[in-house]
Amino acid sequence: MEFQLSPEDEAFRQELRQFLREEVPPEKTGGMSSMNEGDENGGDAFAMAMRKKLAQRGWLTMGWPKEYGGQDASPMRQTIFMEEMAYWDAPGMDLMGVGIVGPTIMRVGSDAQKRQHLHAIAKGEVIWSQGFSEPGAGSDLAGLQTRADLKGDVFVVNGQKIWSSGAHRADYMYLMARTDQDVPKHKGISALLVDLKSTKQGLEIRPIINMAGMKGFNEVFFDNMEVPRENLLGELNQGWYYSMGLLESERTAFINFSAIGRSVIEGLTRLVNDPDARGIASGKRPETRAKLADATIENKVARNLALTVTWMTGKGIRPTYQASVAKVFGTEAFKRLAWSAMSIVGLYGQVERQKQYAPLMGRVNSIYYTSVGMTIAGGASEIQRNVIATRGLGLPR
Amino acid sequence: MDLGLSEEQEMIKTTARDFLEKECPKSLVRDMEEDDKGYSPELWKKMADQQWMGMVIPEQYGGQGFSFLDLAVLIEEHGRALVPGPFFSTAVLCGMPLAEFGTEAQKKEHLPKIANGNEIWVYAQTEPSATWEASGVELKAAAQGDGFVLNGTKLFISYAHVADYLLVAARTKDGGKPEEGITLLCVDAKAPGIAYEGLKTIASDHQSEITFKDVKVSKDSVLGEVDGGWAIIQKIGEWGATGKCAEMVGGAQLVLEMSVEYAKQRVQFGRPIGSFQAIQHHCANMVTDVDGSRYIAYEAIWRVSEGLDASKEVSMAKAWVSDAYRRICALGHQIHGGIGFTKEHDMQLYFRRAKAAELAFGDGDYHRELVAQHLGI
Ligand SMILES: Cc1cc2nc3c(=O)[nH]c(=O)nc-3n(C[C@H](O)[C@H](O)[C@H](O)COP(=O)(O)OP(=O)(O)OC[C@H]3O[C@@H](n4cnc5c(N)ncnc54)[C@H](O)[C@@H]3O)c2cc1C
Repeated sequence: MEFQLSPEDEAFRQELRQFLREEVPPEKTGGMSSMNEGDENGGDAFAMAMRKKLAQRGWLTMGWPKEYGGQDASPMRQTIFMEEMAYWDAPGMDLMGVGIVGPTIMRVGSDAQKRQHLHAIAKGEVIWSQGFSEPGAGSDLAGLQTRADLKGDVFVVNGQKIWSSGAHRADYMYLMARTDQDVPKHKGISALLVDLKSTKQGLEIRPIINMAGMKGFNEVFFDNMEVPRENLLGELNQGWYYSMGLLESERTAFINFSAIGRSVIEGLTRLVNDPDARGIASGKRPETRAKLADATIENKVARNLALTVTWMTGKGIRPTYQASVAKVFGTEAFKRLAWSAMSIVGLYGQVERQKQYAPLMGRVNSIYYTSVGMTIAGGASEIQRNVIATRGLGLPR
Repeated sequence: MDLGLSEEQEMIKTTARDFLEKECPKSLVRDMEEDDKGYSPELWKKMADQQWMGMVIPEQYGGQGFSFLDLAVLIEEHGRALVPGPFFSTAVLCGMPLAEFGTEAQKKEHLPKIANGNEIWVYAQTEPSATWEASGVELKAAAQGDGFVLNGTKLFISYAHVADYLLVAARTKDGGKPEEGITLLCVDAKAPGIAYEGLKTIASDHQSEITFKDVKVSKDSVLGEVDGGWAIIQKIGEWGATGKCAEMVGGAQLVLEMSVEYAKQRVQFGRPIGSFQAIQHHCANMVTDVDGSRYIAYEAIWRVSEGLDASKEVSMAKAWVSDAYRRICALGHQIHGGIGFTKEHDMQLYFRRAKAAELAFGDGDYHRELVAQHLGI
């Protein structure tokens, strides 16, 4: 056992920190804590410029193979990258394109699809969105009803998606649709790569304002939208099985919860010690001490659970239930932290995204909102617990 | 970063598990709860033959020279099997400080006998003051001639009545800060003036009240420096707290396995209760707590073992694992229903020891406050 980074990994972390100190001024942070989606104050432009800079340094797709513009970086390196970005709350990450779409195209995409998409993602030039969930198909994703009927050289798509994050500004969508109505539900689903910008007909994207008042996700309507046949990803009716592999490439992202949490804890620690910070619970109060100590300990537990997944992946051991454990614990501890943080900052916690009065650049208030969605997005806590119990512990279904 | 056990540690683990499954069945654990001595000399001898007592003792003193991390892997198995007796106090709480802080003469005299199982040692810190803080050490050691005279009471000391030696924290100087003026003394457990009064405690771990009345000890029985005992006590606290974490992780793992197994077997409403989602989520929460405990425990153990500054990580681990083990037992009990509430069932053995381990070397509240101090709040 060894609970520390190798000297090379540590050097990489320092290099990253230096880069972030230079490139991301505090007022431009908010990449993780507010999800940074659809920020009207030029946040998008800054995020995309950051993404390009990350790409230029080879960091954006560091985990990819060299032939597709990556660096073959170890899962631990990727985790360090994620962790520092989230700790800094820096914009510019691309979980969808880099973590999900790219690796799936590499695995099952055609040569033409690889040529068209992989380098564009690696250069940080395109925005991807994910069209999975539907009004009637959330946790039960395989129950999706959006249909894509092959007619000649095109798929004709009809139906509706919901919660598609970032679709309002995305170039592409990774769409899951039903291509065979007559087989059991998992077996009739295909994956299509949809060019949102050049699709002129049969597509409507309506932003949904999330409860934090931000444009985060969207409803997407398809009315005889045509998708060229060559945009089918992999084989017909295999889409479900490709998407099941998705979580695997997202795995290193579990570190985000503890990373952003740690920066909030450090900020709170400064605040409660600051004799001039009025209205903030004093660090002398036993309740404050216990809350911050608890948060620190839980944060460590969450980080270790995320690192376990990274470590197993690096070793070539397939985590059966550990990813779900990291997700449930990480997101739930994050929510508890948000509650504690709000109670520590007292009346000031009400102030939203207004830098003067909102504690920690508004981050405390932000995570109070975002932490609500994290235990739902990407498989709700209940679903994760089902996975842990059945796949991990072998309990009967 | 490496979160796995080495091949050698895997060996330690499987050998220990096989050995204890055979030599330390639950029937023995139960017998020892009622036994006068509270441990089996026969098993003790066999454990010594396995070289367990001398695992971390340097080779030149008859031990095996393994690391504390290696020892923790063994202790985890002890926690799983609920090994009764003074192993923890002998090997961890006394063997380790003797090896690290003892004089050449003390090491030569005692370490080989600890390693071969011929000396039982018990660590005596707590008193009726019932705190792990320095202020709790009130037992007086007054300088007299070439040594000290001890007067006072130690309380909550497991297996003291079968010990050959007591490692006693005593106050040698008053005034100043509570941390100053404490001295550790190696005391012959059968010395005149020492009396033992047994306590009945939750984990049946044979605790005693020890009274010292004009007990004479010589100067060479001082471990470390006169008045300089607190630094060693803190080190013992780190070994003790993290060792208890390893023990709790082992117990928690078994409670999880036992509960999952039961959930697969027990049928109600025509189906195994493990197919009910409420039960599944109890199990999922248990394994999350077990895994979370394991890594935070071993991170602290690793730091202690490597000689790195570890006090913050130790407190984080002890606070977390202490509470997690209690939660795991509570869910285990819930899954078992009425049968788990019986004396006959093994759940209670773990439930009771979980509480004792939680209290040893500071509970969650105690360590959370230390964590807050480490944060600089
Ligand atoms: C911030 C955010 C971003 C998102 N981004 C995207 C995106 O980009 N693309 C996309 O496709 N989707 C996205 N989603 C949607 C997300 O995947 C779904 O919200 C999620 O899968 C849950 O589905 P649902 O909302 O329909 O809830 P439901 O499935 O209706 O669940 C409601 C409740 O019932 C529980 N429940 C359901 N089934 C079971 C069961 N079998 N056992 C026990 N409890 C159960 C759930 O755990 C939950 O508590 C996003 C969601 C959020 C919050």
